[in-house]
Amino acid sequence: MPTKQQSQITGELANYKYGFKVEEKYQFKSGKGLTEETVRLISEHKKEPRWMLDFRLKAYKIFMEKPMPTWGSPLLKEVNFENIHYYIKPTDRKSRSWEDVPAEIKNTFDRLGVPQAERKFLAGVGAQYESETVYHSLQKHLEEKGVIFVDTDTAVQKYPDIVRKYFATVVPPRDNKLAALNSAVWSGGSFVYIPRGVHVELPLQAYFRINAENAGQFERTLIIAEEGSSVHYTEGCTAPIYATDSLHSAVVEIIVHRGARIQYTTVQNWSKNVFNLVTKRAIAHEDATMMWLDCNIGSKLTMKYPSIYLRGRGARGEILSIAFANRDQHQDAGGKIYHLAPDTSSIINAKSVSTGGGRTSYRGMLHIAEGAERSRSRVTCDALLLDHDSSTDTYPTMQINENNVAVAHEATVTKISEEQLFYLMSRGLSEQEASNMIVNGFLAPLIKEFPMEYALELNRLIALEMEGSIG
Amino acid sequence: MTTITIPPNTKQILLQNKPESRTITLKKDSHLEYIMSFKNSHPEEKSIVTFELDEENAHVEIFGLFTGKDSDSIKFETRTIHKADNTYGHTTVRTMLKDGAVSDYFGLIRIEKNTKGTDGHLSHDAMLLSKQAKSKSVPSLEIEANDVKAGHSASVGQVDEEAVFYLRSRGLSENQARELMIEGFFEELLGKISDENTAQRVRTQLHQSLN
Repeated sequence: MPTKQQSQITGELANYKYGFKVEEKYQFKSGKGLTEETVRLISEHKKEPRWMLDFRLKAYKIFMEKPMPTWGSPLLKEVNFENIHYYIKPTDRKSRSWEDVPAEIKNTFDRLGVPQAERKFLAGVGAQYESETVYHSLQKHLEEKGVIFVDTDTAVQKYPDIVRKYFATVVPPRDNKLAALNSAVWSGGSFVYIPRGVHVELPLQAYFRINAENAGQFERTLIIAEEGSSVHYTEGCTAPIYATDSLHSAVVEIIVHRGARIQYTTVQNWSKNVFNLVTKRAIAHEDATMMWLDCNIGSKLTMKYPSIYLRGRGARGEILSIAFANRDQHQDAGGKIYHLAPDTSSIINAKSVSTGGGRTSYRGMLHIAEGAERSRSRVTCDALLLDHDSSTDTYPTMQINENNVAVAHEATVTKISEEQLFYLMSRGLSEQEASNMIVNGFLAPLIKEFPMEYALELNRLIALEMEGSIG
Repeated sequence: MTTITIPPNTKQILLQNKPESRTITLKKDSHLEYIMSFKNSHPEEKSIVTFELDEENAHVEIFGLFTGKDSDSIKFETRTIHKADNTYGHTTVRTMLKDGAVSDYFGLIRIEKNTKGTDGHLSHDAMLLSKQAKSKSVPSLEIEANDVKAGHSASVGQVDEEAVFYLRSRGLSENQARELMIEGFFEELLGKISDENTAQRVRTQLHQSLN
């Protein structure tokens, strides 16, 4: 039975557009499984200061003690921590210009379809190949403004004061088992620091890939926007095919200071054997604005609920979430917002599409603390079911501990109606085209929030996913 | 745990006015109007009321009307399980909390595989009349079939100040206006109960428990 299932999955992956694999060439690769020795080795290899090693070791203990979450997807039981490489380092040298990037790695990005013109145009490209960032380019004028955009490993060496001040203050290792795991073995990820009053007009981008069989990807991202500044950070990820399951477990921490604004955009398109278990959280201070734009198309199982703690008066939070689940996929996504101060406001808007027997779940938390007067929140979840094999769940928790508030929540589940199809087909569209159009229309209000190149890529991906899903 | 079966082709109105877990099974073409209105006798108690729509055309309309004051606790669940074709289950819950009262509500609509033409809806509105009152609600959906009409909505708020202002401009005192608003919150549901005697019983009970 398991053999059969494996071949089915491989069969599915055979059609996976971005599922290619470049020959591996690693300088250092840890063995499978996690021991204290591995943690020490990672830290030593990175020539980390003592405080970071201590932090990792403490987190390792917490990871060993903490049980796996008992809620969420039944697929979670399949995660095998013994079967994962916890650290891989591809090349030693970090490149500053595109020409210096090794050809093999460039090849990976070429095949991802990142246009050359775009690479130059965009403010900075942090390309995560395996567990280490190998390429970083930041336009000169940003550097002059004092913007820091480096991989987190470099930040630990070069900017220890800022890192120590904020690292693990938003997501402590105790938060959950996977956050503890990331804290123990993290590698790579982006560190972004925007000084007071600086506005970064172009999105900062990072492309992520996993590229060794069973390669664990534990990136750690930390973004700080000082008072009155703003930045838009985007990440997109695609991964090659593996025969065995892969784990991606990132931690993203964000601090939005007074009056600042951060938008964090994700297009998640891991190959369909990846467990994507991510902790993302932001703290918004007085009059700050935080926005998560989160799109999940790939992976076998995603459990990810970007969170916002509205800690200062007048802070605003927005979470827009798109989930697309096809065969053998479970997208367990959503968002959490905690109103901890007066006059705070929030919006959660989630849309999901299930097809080919896939399952989407919306899991949300809206918490209003006592004293968070005049808080306002609106949560909307819409699910579209394309066939009778697919399923969808909605679990929105609302904990309201203050009476001077306005909270509204709404959810709908719909299918593509015969009438809609009939109308479009009477206009000369095939059933497939008509369905694509309806799905596009359903997701359009959220997709238009993405930067243009992402919106285009998203529409392409969704059309690709829709192939063969009708009829 | 009490179990109740609504036989085929019958129509019933049931009132649950004490906390208790129950399973109610609806048979073919049965029609049930179910009214819930109670508070816990001790804080940890939780009433789970499950409606199993076992056979075709089973139809249930659930009304929950809850009030709490002082340190009252209201902890309950409704679970509506659609297992057959053309079943209908609508749940409307309203909670009003004063003083330090707390409510904890989990509502589930579950539509099982291979069912067609199901119609499930759930709405929960909570009105908090004091700073200390707390409301938790989880209106959930588990949908495994696509020929469905399903949704839920929820809101939490306090007495609408604009409406109070309007009523006062019509000559009502502040207190009168507020009382009217509080009454109206439940009256909207009470008006939907088809049996006037039952509606009156619930109305009296709500008044007593609030004052």
